[in-house]
Amino acid sequence: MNLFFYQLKNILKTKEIIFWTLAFPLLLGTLFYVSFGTADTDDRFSKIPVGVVWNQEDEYFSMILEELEGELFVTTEYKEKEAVKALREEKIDAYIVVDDTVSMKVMESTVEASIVETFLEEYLSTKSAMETIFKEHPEKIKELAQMMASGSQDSVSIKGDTQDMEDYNPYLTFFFALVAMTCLFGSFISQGVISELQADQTAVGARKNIAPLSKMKLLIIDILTTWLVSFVEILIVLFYLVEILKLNFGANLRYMLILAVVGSYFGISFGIFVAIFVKGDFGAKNGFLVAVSLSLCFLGGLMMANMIDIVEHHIPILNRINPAALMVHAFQSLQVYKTTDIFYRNLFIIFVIALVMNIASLWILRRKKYASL
Amino acid sequence: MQTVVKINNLVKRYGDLVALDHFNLEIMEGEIFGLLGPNGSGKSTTIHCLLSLLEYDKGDIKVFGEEMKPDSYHLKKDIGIIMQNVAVFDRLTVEENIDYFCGLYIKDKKKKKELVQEAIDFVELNDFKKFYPKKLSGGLLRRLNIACGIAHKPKLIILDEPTVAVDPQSRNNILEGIKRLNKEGATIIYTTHYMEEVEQICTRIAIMDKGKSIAVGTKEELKSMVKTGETIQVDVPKLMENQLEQISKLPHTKKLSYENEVLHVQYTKGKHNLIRLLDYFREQDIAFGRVTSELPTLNDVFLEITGKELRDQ
Repeated sequence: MNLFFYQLKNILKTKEIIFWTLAFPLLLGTLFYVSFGTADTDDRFSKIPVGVVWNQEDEYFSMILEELEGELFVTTEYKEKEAVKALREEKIDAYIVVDDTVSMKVMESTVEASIVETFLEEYLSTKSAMETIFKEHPEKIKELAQMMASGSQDSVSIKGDTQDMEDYNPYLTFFFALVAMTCLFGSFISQGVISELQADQTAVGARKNIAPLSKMKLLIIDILTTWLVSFVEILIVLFYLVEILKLNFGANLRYMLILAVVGSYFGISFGIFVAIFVKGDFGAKNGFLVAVSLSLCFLGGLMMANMIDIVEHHIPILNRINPAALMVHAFQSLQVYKTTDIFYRNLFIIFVIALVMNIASLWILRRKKYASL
Repeated sequence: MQTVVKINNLVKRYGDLVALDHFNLEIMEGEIFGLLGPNGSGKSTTIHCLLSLLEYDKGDIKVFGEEMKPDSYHLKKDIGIIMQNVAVFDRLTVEENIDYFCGLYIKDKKKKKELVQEAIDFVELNDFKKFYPKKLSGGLLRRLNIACGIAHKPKLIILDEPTVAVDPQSRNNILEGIKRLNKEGATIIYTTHYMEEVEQICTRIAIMDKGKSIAVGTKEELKSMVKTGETIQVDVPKLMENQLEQISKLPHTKKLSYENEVLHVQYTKGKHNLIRLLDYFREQDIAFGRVTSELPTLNDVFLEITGKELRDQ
């Protein structure tokens, strides 16, 4: 217990560490809020502006669109050239061309475009069945349209149980990525602490190595200490974003705690892993951590909200293993799609990666002798 | 007397560089054993191998009669180390640092508290207990470093160049402290490249060069290995060439020089050299001032064995 508290004091009194792992995320969160905070209400997901080019009449499709007007879409009729122009000027997210079949055109891959695309796929795949319903039970058109809209959102949310997307705010991605960054920056704490456990890195490390205490025990004390600090820091950042800045993360306290536990565990495991496996002195390892953490957060949407979508189209595997992207998506799943499946799945992946890094680190460190000091 | 440390044929290579070349060492209980050698001679490497911190290529190391391994915790609990670099936490106070490192060895809270206070008393840091290391002078920091290494009352204390960059007063303080620790029953291994320090405190000395132990013994035994005897230095305002030649022919004279009105005469072993030289001055009516006589030093031993000066390294 004594060693635990001294280690805790040692970490908490390291101003640089506390700045980068706590003050910096809070500052960045404030800056994000100042930049995007006012956009919170304006840019909330409501209806998708869609252009419709009627090259041919389609009674059933027209009825469906009519039902969804103001619910999911805000449609405007265009000639094809006007639609292209409107799309370029970003007045609409997509336009639908109705002729023999129904197709769509988009400028870039966005969540909104994906919803329109899925809606159309849904419509085309069930068109014949719908025609029967229209003829025999015209009173069920509204219900059918709602089902399709819901199905589109479900699909975009990766098999989620979407109810609605009223709370969706694209700017929240920055804040989700900010929380992911706070988790990853926890690695700075553990890297510093572990360097004080390595005889070839610090004199304190050498002294600890000759103590009659197993390396495993010292490592566990260090892991618990750094985990606690990182966990509390993440909670502080979450509290600040949710309770002070009043951002709607769509997550209750339980999910916040779970994310903070897993996120902080990943961060500190990552720092330990780098401290042990990356060659070089403390500065080099720290530089490596900064570069990797920021790169992962960038790919997770810290600087561009649609970065995850871009990565999904080009290197989808990266989104499955990038802890920042996984955390952002976990938050999105709670906030936008109101589902916990993705949340738990993503956190499980993060936990497994962290565990693997941890086991590898412990294995190497436990009876290590050094080639040079 | 029990053997505390025994090293047999230790070989440690860093690539092509042989840091320890079939190095042997035996240290007995109660000794203050000095490892003397220039920088890069292998002293710290020996200590690191002994503590099982470094991998080595060949050889055996036994401490308290048992093979030393990274997980030899029962052996490690009786060893204290004072590193060349100060090994303390910058963000813990003097007292907390000593308490932390003592806590790695001692579980009993009451006993630990007593030991921490004893260590603080020993290094005379009572007035600085609540200070952070950054607020301490170099000498006080070295004392804290020592306190952290000895607070658990180890039977074997290893000091790796503890007086580097320390002022003379603090150095004397540290050396006196080492003697006290030894009197209290600890076996000491002391590495340094300052021959004056080993002469002052060590009961036995191993002189190292290029990873080898080139001579081992008490300082008297080591000095008896060399052919050089005393060196006499006399302030003489004026000496003629023929007088210098006559002095060089006095018995046991090995080498002489006369520069800036100071005569240096080095002798081979023999008695009454000073009397003979002063008699000659009287006979020739040569005026002289201050006279000093120096016995051979460990540097002379090193010089004679290796052909180079220890202090020049």
